[in-house]
Amino acid sequence: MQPDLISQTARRILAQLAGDLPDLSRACVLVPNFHAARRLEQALAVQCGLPYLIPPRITTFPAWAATLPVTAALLPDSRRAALLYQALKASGRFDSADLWGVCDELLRLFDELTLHAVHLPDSLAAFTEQLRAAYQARRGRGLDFEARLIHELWYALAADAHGAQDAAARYTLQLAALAETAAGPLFVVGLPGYSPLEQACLDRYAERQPLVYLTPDTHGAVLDALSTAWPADPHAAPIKQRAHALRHIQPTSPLTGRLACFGAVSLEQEAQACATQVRLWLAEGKQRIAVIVQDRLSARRARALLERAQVLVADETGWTLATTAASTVLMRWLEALTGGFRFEDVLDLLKSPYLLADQDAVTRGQAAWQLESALRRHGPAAGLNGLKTRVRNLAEHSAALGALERLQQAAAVLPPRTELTLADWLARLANSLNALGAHERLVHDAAGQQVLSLLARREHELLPDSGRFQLAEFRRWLAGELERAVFVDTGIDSPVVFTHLAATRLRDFDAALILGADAAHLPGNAGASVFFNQRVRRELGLPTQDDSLRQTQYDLVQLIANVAHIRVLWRAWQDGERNPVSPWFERLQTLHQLAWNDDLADTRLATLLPHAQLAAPAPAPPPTPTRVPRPTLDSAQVPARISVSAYNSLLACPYQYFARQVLRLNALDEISSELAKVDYGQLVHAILHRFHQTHPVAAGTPPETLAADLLQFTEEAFAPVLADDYFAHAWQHRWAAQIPHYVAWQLAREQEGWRWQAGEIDAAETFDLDNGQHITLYGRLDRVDSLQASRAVLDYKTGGTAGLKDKARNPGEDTQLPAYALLLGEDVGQAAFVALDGEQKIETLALEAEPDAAADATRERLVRLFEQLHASVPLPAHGADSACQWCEMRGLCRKDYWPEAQS
Amino acid sequence: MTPAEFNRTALDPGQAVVVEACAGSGKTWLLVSRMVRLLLDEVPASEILAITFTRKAAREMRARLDDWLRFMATAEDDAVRAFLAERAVPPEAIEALLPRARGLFETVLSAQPGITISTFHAWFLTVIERAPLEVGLAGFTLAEQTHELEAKAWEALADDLARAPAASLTVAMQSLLADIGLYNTRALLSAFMARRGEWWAFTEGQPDRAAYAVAQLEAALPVAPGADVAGDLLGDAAWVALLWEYLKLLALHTPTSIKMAQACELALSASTAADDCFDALCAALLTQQGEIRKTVTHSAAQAKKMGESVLLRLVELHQTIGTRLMSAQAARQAQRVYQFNCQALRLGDALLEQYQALKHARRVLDFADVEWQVAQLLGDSDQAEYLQYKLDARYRHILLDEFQDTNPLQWRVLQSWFAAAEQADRMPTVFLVGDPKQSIYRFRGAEAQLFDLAGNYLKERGAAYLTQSTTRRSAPPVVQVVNQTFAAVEHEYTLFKPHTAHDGQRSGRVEVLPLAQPPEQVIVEHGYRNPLTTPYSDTDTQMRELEAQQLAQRLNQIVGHWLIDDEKTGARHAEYRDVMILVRSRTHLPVYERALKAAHIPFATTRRGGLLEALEVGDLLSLLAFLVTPDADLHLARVLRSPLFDCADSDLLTLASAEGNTWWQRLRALADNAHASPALQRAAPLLADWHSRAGRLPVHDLLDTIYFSGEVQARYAAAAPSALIPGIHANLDALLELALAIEGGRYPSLPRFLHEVDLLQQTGNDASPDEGKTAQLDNAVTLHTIHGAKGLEAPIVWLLDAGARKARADAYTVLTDWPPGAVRPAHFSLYGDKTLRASFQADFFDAEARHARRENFNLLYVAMTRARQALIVSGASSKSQNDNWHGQILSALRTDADAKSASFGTDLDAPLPASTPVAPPPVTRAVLPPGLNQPQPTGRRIAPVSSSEISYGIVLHAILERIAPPASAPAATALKTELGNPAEFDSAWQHAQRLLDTPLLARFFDPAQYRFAHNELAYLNADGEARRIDRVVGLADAVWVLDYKSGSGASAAQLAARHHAQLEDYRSAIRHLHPGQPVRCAVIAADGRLIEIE
Ligand code: SF4
Repeated sequence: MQPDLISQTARRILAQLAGDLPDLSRACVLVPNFHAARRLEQALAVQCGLPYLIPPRITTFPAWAATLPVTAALLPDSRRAALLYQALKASGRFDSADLWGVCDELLRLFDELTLHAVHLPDSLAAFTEQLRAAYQARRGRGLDFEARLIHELWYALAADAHGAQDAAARYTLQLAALAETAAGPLFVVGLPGYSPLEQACLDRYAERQPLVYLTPDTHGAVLDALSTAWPADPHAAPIKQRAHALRHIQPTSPLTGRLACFGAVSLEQEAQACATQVRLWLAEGKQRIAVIVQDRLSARRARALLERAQVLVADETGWTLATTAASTVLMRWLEALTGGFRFEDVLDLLKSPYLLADQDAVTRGQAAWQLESALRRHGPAAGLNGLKTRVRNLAEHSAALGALERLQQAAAVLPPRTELTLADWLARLANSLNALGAHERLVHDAAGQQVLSLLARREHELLPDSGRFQLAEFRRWLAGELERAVFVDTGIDSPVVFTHLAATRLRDFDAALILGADAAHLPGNAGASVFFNQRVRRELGLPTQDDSLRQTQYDLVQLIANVAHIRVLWRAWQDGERNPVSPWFERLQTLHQLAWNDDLADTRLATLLPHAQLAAPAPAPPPTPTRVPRPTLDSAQVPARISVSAYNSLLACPYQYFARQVLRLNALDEISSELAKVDYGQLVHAILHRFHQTHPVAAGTPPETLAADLLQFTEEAFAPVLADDYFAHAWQHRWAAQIPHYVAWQLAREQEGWRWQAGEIDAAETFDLDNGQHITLYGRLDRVDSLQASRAVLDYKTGGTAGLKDKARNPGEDTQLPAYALLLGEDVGQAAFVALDGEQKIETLALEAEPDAAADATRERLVRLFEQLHASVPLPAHGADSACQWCEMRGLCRKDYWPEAQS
Repeated sequence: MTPAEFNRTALDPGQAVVVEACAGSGKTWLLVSRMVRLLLDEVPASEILAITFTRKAAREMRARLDDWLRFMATAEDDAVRAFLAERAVPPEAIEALLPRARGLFETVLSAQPGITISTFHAWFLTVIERAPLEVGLAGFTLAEQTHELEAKAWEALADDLARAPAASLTVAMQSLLADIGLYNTRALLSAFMARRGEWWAFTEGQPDRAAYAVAQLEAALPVAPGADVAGDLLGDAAWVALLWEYLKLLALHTPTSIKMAQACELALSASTAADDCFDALCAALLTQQGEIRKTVTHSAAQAKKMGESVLLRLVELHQTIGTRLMSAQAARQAQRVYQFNCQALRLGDALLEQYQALKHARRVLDFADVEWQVAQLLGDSDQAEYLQYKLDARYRHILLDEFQDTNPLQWRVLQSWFAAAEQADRMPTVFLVGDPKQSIYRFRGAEAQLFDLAGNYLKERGAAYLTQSTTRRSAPPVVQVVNQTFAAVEHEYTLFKPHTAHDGQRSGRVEVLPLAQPPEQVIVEHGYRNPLTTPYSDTDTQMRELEAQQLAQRLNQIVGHWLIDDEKTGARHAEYRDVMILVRSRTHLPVYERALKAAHIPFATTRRGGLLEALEVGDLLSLLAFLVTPDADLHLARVLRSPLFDCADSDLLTLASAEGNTWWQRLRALADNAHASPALQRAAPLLADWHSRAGRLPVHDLLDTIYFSGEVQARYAAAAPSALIPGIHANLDALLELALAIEGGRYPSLPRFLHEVDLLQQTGNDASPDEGKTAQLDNAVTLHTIHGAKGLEAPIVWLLDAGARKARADAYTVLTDWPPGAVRPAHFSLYGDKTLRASFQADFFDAEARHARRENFNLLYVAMTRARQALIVSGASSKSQNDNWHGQILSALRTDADAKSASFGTDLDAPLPASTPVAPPPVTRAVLPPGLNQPQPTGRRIAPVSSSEISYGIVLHAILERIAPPASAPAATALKTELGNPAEFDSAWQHAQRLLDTPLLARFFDPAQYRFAHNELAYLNADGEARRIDRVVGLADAVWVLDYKSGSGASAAQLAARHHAQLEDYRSAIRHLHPGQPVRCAVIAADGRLIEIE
């Protein structure tokens, strides 16, 4: 392996400054990052052979520049953005929801212009012309707009700054002055490139003091192979020729054993491969392992897998503050405020452990559950007052009420409609967080601390800003701030480092793994600006995509040349489709195949993966294969009562009955304001019951009066529902349209001789079982009519009529009518559905069997079934597809996993 | 045209070409070959734009191009020559092109910008990203799923309506709700929303879209919308006179007629309203369907009774009166449909506005917006031109795939673009491929006729028009059956022209199995079914189960027995993966899947949006729901029953009868007292552990913990039937991936995650996540819908449920007509059940019906042409006689008209060779380092660098550095800003001031009093460790080493003792660095005391 650039540098510095020893502080060394600075210090100390040494100033370009005195006050970016926002808002050019985004884009552009010393012409016309020429286009509205926007705001912002400097401007001024401070030699080590201003600074420095550039070697077996794979010359010979030439010079590959590529079939496998490889390296005793993160998703997954194996990761890439739980609670709070406290937001807040952290977990849990239960039972509501009203419907509601009141107090400091300065909003936000009891939790959380200190920093910076903003604008601003801020957990020291490619410069790793090396992520195309295009950028002197590609390639080459073990991982399959590897590795693999008949694929990792699974912390014996469940009951567990609808459930599927009635499980209601079909049915039942109580006999009253009464009852019954659900009107219309038909039907029925007798009757009947036990069948009869000695039981149906006919025809399969007949007792002349939802008519669909006989058969079967249950005959799960389709017990019976269709 | 001639034209890079190519003819080959030819012709990659219809197809094309370019770069010269010759490179040019061919691989890989292979939507998005800023689209992103937004739009509309009960919009809604009910109203307005692209186009440029649309309808109305049709008719004295004459004669006719006449006379003479009277007349003269009753006809007997001429007059009047009534009725119907449209269009437009506003507030666009915005952008010549130069890529060659699936708006975009390019004399070379026979996306707005239109447009501009009806995919017997099937419906399905098979020698087979018949009804002896012993079953399911059993049995006879001619490996026996099962709709899929499972046939269903319905995913979602809502008993019960804990029903019974409010309380109590079964005993602590993490960990990390400590993957593998295991693993992985990806990992709270998942679940198929894809390597039968199988092929294709009739079309939806090539639709209206369709819509209904018929054939064509070698057709008995696919294929095939089944082609059954010496794949034994299955504790938690003590020091130093002379001290606030407003600033600032103000310390800070001074002097010791000394000051007599301490209260002795060692190290360093000078060390306490360390 070639001697490392760091030790070369140390040697060079010591040789050149031998006379200064032990105090090298006169000299300055520029390095790409502080990791490299650390390494260089060490190399100097070791190589100089002295007990103590004052090192040269070893620094990065920005840090070096920052040592110069400043000439003007700093204009922090937050204030620039606020100024720009107001200027843009005044111009009325963009939609307000868009403004912060445009501000960001503009500031990014302005910084680029500053840093690359691009000067905008004084006149707009000249700038427009410059752009036009760069685009090679005619003028047009779009171009004029772009030019005017940039030009105008650039100058406006400069004027508004009142002489304060933004960070980029300050950096350029400091750069310009740096050379003047030259007091000793300068060494520039391994920097991949310079902006024009940096280059100018170095050039001026070189006029005053010796300046030495130290760059990595460009030759060596690995480097030659790489430069053959990725030639700088676009007109290089075809790859096959280059490969053969290379092979001629290097009969064996310098890369075999050094670099291997692994295309995973899924995200999970990619992450598994990464974690396994890292663990293999650790097992081999490697001390410094880098995972170069190209794909954040895979990295998060891989980190979780490593943590399973108790391998902690020092993650230098961090993640945006916006993705931390601490930000979540902040933004959810603001969303709740600006959204008028929708119940989803409030529930989410109450379930967050960050809120009301001063209360115990049980009370908090209760608060959430109480609110949730209230909403499930009584429908959703919005606004804290609305929610409080809902909650008061419950008997137990103190926890929820208390929590809602806390929210209300905290909300009082953040009035949504007032315009305040950003600093003011920030201060109030901090107050509200205190009032919510959130502050406590946030300071004890690493990300929470960073969030709080970000808020404090911005508040201070923005104190001088007098622009006024609404809460919604403030929320959007804060979202952007949290999005931009990167949270890096510095609390882990580990040999395993997740980092960026650029951060590997001049660092020392035993092994490195590139994670997410597919074409979409390497090079990837993040950070494209909405302004200009590549050609214009080039013309103006701004860096282009080509520049960043060159830089990435440089870093890749250095990494591969300096790290002895490299793995390249990517997802070769995505959503069942092929996903290409990064073009760099595509070329490298192809070249390698051509030169040495080996495509560098990692075959070992694939075979190891299935065996490298980590054993669970507390392994348990494996479960048994799933079977059709057939629970049996002890006699004591058999219910003594069964409702008519439960009887139907038992017919449809005994296991469903078991789960619903024996285990007494049921699904939670949806939180929904919409009038469900069941609710509609209940309303209509109640309306009709009231109607018949009012008019036990309809004949004799004019039909118009009957209809009017029915209509009035309907309106009264629907009124409370309509307040919550506008679309309940539809149901009301639906029923109202049937009213005349219902009256006609009732009159016709009375003509036949039937008289309404009673409604909503709770009936129960108990039958003896052979073991001395009993079974009670119960149900509610919607209505009973009589005709002389004979009686009829009627069941109102508000659903579609289609299925009802079948049910009336099949007393053995739908037990409602026969069971009602049974409950009604002797002399049942008719058992019928009343189909209330027919096409402009009401229909009586009578049981097609003799009611008494059907009742007998129903009783017999009921008795037989319960005798069998008492005798521990199992309750198998065997619903027909039609029953299973909507069955909420599917997760319990495990139907989808049964091994075979039941016989 | 020979294949060579065909390719010469089709692949000529300078020639615009339109290709109508049948299924299996190698469209992708052609397209990618064309790209290769373009690249060979020195076209820069950035000038090529290829557009296809699915991301999958785009990726496939990309992969194929990569493969070919790599081949050209790496293969032997002769192979490359052959490759070029195959792609019609002129023989004389081959040699010269060879170097370029070899270099293309790298040229294309490293091109910036590269070649664009994309879908319309993806490409439109890149266009939008570069849209002029003034359009205000900057910062918009694509909405991943719009279901929630749609629901919110409904809520917002309802709120508006509730607030303004008297507004005309509210009245419209009330009337619509009363008229067609909530369900249909929702269906109708949702359908309207789904066709918003057409709506925008139809009403483009109109300030009041709905008013405009309504006005269009009014113009088409046969009668004024407010006209009193019945009143006018009954006010027409001449007609009324005829009517009376008619009724008089009618009263002489049959008894039925006499009744009719009486009813009419009653209605006419009583002073009933005109409308009621009209209704009575209609009811008498017209049938329910609105036709003239056939009760009054000529018959000899009647003629004798009434007299010939009287009867003739009666019959004549019956027709005249009836016809007039019919037209009046139609006019009234038209008025009704018009009213209905007035209401519904305005409501639809209002709903759409709400939806658009919501998206705008969230800065998102949906696909319809993207399409419409691009159409707008390119329709404006100024903006179109801006885009042309703003895009980094300047396309000169456009390849359009699957053009039959293009919609009119997309064509409009292309047209504007071409028009602008033509004007600038930069018309790109277009290569357009498609097959109108494979157009099956009309329900999404695709318009197959655009293929012809675009073809002609290009032909006029010099494009060559080629057709290709030779399939490389299907074997001759399959091709023959396809030909015969469609020959039989030639007059109805003119798109089809007979195909030929590229390779006439391949063997193949088609089987049409008999339809499964309903089983004999078993008469139950006596009493009712006992549900404990006998499951319920209905005939429809039984029939389908029979078909499914047939499927499973036959597949097991085929796999391992039939000989497949594999393109790559040559002949081999059939495997499961060779079989593709097709269904038209998913409705009955579970029945078939059950049969496959029972027969141990591994299968994979590509079910869009199926992930959240999978049992295992449901289990884990239940677990998460339980963790946020521990009171939810059913969720807990489900989790316990799942393989996670594998509790038995008896465990559940135990919990059901235990003491305690919720199951979770009961479970913990039982476990605490060790009264629970081992399974429950295991569940309690694990659940408690997960519960304690639920609020703190991001969802993904929580799931990871659950997967790991709950051994999820292994336990599911042990519990589930083997056929399902690969799918289960994939689904479990996919759930993790969903947890990582949802909302880009933003704001990760568990309730929010569940809410999002809930929304995805409600969204239905299109936007909800797909089931996890199992690795390609699985050997499994695949099940697809025909729509989902487009672009796929398989050696053996099984078309299921072919006995079913065509799916019924939706009622309550949109009726549009967008003539191909027009900038906007010619018609846009809404319709409902048969009372809500009017005569002025008739032409459009007819057109719709024609399209639907054609698409039904297209669908069958697509299904049949998926097969490479064998096609099997089965179905369940049908009421539709032969008007179904099964019947159509069977009658094309059978020789005996009564045959219930038929087969055709070669017998593919080949006995297994006596012994198949298959060399076992070389087993690479993985040598796993010991301990790799165990944790490897690595790394440690340290105090974060930003802990307050350290940062206090940093701040203090920074302040001293900036305010100590000779620096000119800045104001505190400014410095605070510079330093990023650290929390420690204020106290550090005071600290620093104190030091500077302490007279005793002045000599260390006053430049006049010292020789030299360094802040933070760094030195290295021999080990390379860096140390920093807070301040080193050279006074006249000695060099002082100073160290600032922030803690106060410690005594001098304590401080001296505490920092002795540290300062001694400093001392010896400074001695070395300043040899011969006395070095004195001191600690400076926060209160300004100077404590010298001896
Ligand atoms: S899903 Fe079907 S089998 Fe399972 S319990 Fe429900 S009805 Fe019974």
